[in-house]
Amino acid sequence: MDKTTGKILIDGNNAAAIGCLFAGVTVLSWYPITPSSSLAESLIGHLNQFRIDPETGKATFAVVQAEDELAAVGMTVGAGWVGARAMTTTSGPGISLMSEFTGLAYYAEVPIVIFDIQRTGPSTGLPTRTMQGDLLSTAFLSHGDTSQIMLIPHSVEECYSMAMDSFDLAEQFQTPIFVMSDLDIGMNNWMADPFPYPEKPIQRGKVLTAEDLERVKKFERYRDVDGDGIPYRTIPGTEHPLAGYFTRGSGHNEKAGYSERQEDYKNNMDRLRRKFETAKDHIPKPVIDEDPDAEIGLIAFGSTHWALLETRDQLRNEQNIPTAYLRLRAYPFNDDLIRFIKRMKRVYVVEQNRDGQMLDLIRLSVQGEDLKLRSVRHYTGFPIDARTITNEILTQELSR
Amino acid sequence: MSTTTAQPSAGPKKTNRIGLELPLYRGGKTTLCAGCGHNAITERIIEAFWEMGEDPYHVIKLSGIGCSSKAPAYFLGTSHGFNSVHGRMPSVATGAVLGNRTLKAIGVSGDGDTASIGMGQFVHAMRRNIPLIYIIEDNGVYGLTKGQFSATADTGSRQKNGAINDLPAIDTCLMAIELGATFVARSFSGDKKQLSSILKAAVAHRGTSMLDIISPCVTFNDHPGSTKSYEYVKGHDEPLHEIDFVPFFQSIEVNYDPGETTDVSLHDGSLVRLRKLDHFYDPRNRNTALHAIKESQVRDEILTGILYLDPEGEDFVSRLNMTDESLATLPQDRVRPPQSAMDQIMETLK
Repeated sequence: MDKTTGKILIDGNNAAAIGCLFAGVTVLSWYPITPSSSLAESLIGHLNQFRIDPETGKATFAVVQAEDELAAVGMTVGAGWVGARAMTTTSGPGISLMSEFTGLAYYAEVPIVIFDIQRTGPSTGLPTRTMQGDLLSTAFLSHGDTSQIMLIPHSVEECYSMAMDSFDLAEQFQTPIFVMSDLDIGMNNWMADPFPYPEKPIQRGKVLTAEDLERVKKFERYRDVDGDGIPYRTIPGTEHPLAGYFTRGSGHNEKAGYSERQEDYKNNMDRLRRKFETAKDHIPKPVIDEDPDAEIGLIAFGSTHWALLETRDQLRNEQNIPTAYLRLRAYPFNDDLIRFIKRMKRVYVVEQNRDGQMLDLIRLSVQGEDLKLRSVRHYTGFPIDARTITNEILTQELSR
Repeated sequence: MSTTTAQPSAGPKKTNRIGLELPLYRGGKTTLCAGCGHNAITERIIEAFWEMGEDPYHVIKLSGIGCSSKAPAYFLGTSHGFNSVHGRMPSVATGAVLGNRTLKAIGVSGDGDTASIGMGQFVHAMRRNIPLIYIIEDNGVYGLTKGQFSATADTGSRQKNGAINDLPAIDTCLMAIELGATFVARSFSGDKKQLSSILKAAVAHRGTSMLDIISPCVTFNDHPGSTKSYEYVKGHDEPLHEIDFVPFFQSIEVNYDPGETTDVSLHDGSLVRLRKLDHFYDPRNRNTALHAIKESQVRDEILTGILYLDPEGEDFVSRLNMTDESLATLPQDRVRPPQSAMDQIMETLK
């Protein structure tokens, strides 16, 4: 039997590019940086092939190679603000540079999509080596109280599906969505089943048209009408006297007016927190593989998944240690995570960075279960391997 | 039973070519200092957009950070506005006009916002010839942070606290012309007539209109020794020409003396008529423009007027061969390729 029959061979960056194509991306602004450039370049190829209107010969997209990452994300913000499906691609150093603008997009509530193909940091680090090293900095990217949503694909299939999800989520939550891939998934070829054509229609979120405004007779840009923290927006060009509003990164009230009033500030910040809470149950849920005999839980994410599968086999087959496994797929975490940790006696968080960044994020999000959490960290620039994880877990189990 | 109050019979209100009255082009009340040059520029912007009959629903106002960048809140109150981050207005404007090319974009920046923190984005916006009216409200000083020099402050100019600027000024007009901007002008917030004509021509122009408008800061840079004070600018302003702007929807007067005027037709059919003052000046010649500005610097003069104009330069949106409609509102069937596209891509990967 040939198990490769009908399969495709593809790198994660191209897979993500295909997701962006079918998500209906309209504006791509990017700045070249390893290992993310091939995502933008693959996408440009697909756009040129499939998004030129056959009747007019005109493009239904715009691509700009920006002068730097600040401009790349700035253009994305401008395009997202007028209602385009806008994205940029980058890696660690670019993420650092995009910090200020992503805080603006968070606070002014502008939908944008940012692909971070993580490489080894800090600083220039090892540009051609892999790492899951931008989690903490991205979760809180920008100054003040900023909380960012991250999607974390583990495969080329998820690079495709999450790329598509990210545009819907950005518009539904009116906020930046970070897709946290890495060099290992992004630039290496992986085998997969052919990608399914999207069934779900494009979700544009809470956008009020001129007809809507005529019907509702009232529009306050930052008012929590539905109680989910997500306000309504209008896009420039909407022909209605209520449509226009002033977007700003400075303090604002529900009507988008400049305000330094303490109630306005707090009200807005609390609503943004509420919106973030709402997002928990709308972003990709963790995938859990239970084992009724397991006392040990394993948590991993992204490209670590593949080594972890083998580790579970090694623990079961060589040591007779059954494990349960929760694979995180997004941040903020939903309640599946705390329930999983509660069920386990000990939980190992396995990740590819020095500081246990995901462990820290989990600690911040799950209270009262901290003592159960252990950490397996791999940081050489090369992809994590099963034996390293297995040995580390066994060492920690024996020294208990 | 209700009683109705008789409305006092008002005379016919003056409307523009799309039937709107001037007050609709106003915005919020200014919070800038009384006498700030920026407020005068705001007034001219209001008039220019009204006179040109621009539809406020299809105008976007963008800015960075600083006193200047507060200005978009004070005009075109029904238009969408975006007060973004320091020095980054050009990138936000670029993304916005790409996302919806049918919008008319006006960006307001300052000398700090452009010539220091924003220089990188300024340079590349000019180079791309983004369809954008880019206004620098130039006072040579950081007002919001209380009076530090900016990079457009002239050598030898004195700060309020007595400090002397010993660095050369960056001339944003010289840069814009060198970099490929297709409409470059310098004016003075106090020159109502000239500024109005330039603004209207900028609205009509296709591509980047870069306007460096000297706009004295009454609080931090209007003292003796400053080269951006009202008194200094009035004394050193050297207009190149008198500018008559004839919008495309008005008929053009025919009486003129060909030796005394230069006519430049804009892409939308409007006409810029430049009346000669001391010397003949043709703004369509890039080298002449650069030379004239440099010469005026030697004479300590501030050359004002339309310094450079290339009405046919290709703007960035045209260069991208984009569809004529807004990308932002294209329906799903225009932006999501069919199943056959997916099949085709998958086939290449097998």
